[in-house]
Amino acid sequence: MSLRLETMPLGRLVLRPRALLGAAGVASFMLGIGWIGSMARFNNLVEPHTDPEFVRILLAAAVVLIPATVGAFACELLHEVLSASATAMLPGIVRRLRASVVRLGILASVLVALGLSPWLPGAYGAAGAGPALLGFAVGSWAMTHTGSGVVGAARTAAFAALIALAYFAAPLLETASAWSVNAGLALLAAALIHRRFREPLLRASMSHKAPTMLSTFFAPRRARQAREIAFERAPLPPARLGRSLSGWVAACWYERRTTRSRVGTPYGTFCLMLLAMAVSLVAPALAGILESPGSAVERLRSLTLHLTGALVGEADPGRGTEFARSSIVIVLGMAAEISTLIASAPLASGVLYPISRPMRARLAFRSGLAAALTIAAATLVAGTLVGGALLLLGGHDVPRTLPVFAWVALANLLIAPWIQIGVSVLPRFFHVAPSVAPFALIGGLMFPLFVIAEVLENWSSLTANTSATGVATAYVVGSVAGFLALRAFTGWDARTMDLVRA
Amino acid sequence: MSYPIETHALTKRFGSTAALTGIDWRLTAGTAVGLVGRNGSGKTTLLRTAAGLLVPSGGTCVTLGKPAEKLGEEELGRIGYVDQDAGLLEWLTVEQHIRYVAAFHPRWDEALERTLRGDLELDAKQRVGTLSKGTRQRLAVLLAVCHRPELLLLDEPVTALDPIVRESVLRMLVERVIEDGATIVISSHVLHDIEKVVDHVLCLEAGRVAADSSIDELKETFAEWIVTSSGAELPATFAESFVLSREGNGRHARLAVRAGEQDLARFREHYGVEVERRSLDLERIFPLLTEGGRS
Repeated sequence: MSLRLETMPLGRLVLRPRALLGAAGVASFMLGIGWIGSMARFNNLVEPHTDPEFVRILLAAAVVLIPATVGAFACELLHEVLSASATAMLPGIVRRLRASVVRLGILASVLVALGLSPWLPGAYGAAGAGPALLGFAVGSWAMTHTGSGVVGAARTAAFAALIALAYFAAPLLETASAWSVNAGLALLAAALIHRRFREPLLRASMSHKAPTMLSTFFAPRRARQAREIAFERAPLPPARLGRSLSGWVAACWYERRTTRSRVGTPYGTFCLMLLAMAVSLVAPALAGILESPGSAVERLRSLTLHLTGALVGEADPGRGTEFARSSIVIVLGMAAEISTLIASAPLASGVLYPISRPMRARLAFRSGLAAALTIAAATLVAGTLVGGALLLLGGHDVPRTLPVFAWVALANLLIAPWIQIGVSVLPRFFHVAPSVAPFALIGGLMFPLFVIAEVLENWSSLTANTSATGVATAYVVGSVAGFLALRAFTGWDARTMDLVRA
Repeated sequence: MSYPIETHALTKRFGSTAALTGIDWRLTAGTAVGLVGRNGSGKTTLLRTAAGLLVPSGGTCVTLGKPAEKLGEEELGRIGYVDQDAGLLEWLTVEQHIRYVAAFHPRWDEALERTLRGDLELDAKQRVGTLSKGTRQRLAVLLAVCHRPELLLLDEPVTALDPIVRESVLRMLVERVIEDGATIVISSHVLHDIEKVVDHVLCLEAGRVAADSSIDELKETFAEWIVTSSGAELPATFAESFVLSREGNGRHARLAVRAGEQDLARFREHYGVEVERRSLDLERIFPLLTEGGRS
């Protein structure tokens, strides 16, 4: 019996139970998407933060997420304990016991999720647990079977994208054309995230002869000189400001890549997940527009109106305003993320580079800030430009779009450093497989990211709302407390690098 | 006298696990030291600590005159390091990777690079990700030596190499010592090969120094005695503390000993036996340095 089970997919999952953590991350990620979807679905809620339904969504997602993650951690821990004693005990018994424990853990998590699913409202409530569990199962399968590193992460992200598409498409659109659009976009996402697509970009950026900003980023000597200017020659001469800033960012990414080398490519994974998420968000809106009656021009105008309506908060109750707005923000943020990823300089863990440890530590810290600034600035600028263009097309008031992107940029600014810190350190704390950690981390962070983004967007209406303000405050305070705990625990500066590299 | 690496009570812990415990060690400039020990004995941790990649939990580790965790660009530029895992940038070609790393080092020797490319049979156009483990190790060695470092820290650099390339790499390392006066620390389990290169051995056992001697001293200290008794049978065990292991029975025995000439003379006299002393190579000395190898 046991032998037969070992040959089944679940048996293989048992052999690599660390996939559970990734699966929990994927599941929570799906829940995050579900929450956004719910916001989209219930966009007729005039004051979502005061609506009990909204609170229920928050609670349901949190209550499902926590046991799933805790369950995965518990399974992992038990597996480690049992594995450690495997040689000292009868191997067959231990193997069976270990398998049973992990399977029980999976079952328990599933039951908990199922039991809580009625908490999710509306169509997403009914279907809520299904996609989450599907995400859990497929995430486990993908993590177990597709290997680690970029390729495994990419495949898993592609799976996640497909599930997300299904999740969104099912309640909103039920026609074959919508599914074909979804499938096409999923394939596009898979193509975009394939390493063969990224490598030429990276290689092109390696050319020292190319007089581009990217080549400056990639040329170590020049980047180092620029970093020295940025770090050690204050105040900056105005003429060098541009170069110094680019060098500063480049140098930060420099070190960022070093830390990443020990944890796979979590930042890449992060981008891929964002990509999958963006695709999953845009697909239903696009499919819906394509399905609407009228000529191609009318459909395009309809799309524009949807998007611009979303931007200025003139919600079209038909479909898609909230998530269209979120989609734009996410796509732009994602573009910024990918551009900064491409503009990073890699360091190999097997090579000792002449960069001092204090410098590495400073860079590691500043890289988070650089990431945040880059993302925030790119989101703000690109969002304003694109949003402005859309607003002009749709005949709306341009200035009204600005606060939306300002708030999201600020949210990014607050969140991005924690992601950076997390992906660098988390794998060492929990001894999880490098490619797995980002899923758990992103799953955990994605949710509060959008909470804070929504809260900030609606700040003016929240001043009189204690509970929503409390959510934002709790998150910020929690983040600061988490960071202080991290610092106290690791010694942060040099020892953080130690931890990452150990 | 300055030492390229000098540790005092060096301790490194990973959580509750002590990888290094109270290591006192001085690396003499211009020597080639073989760092030996069983798996998990702390070799990699010691090398990584010396390179500044790990921060000591206790004690000090001074590399090139500076605390290892505070090494600056200048000192790091004088160190060559080959990591056990040879983590390289997989999407680059060999040529691109060499150029990329070379850009960090103002003293990069392109002539040496060309020579080593030929000696180590590296295909410039091949993608790093497609290289075999042995070829990756060769590339890692090239990347570590072409800036002509004063201090070379090599963590298992020849394990995956075939005997011919291994010979070539080791010969090149010897040349570095002779030409540049470089100091080399090389950790390896292929003791037979590194014995040809090193003149000193540091043996670690469970994070502690088990031996720190020159090869000559070790060979003088450790030996194999072929004992033949013409009279009574030899005892089943020998009480002498310098006898580390015994094989054989009856009137013949093969002893592994840690003994000097005086011990040999006393042994002959006490048991009335004939003893033929044979030298041991590092491969056979190593087990005697570790707890697990003594019986």
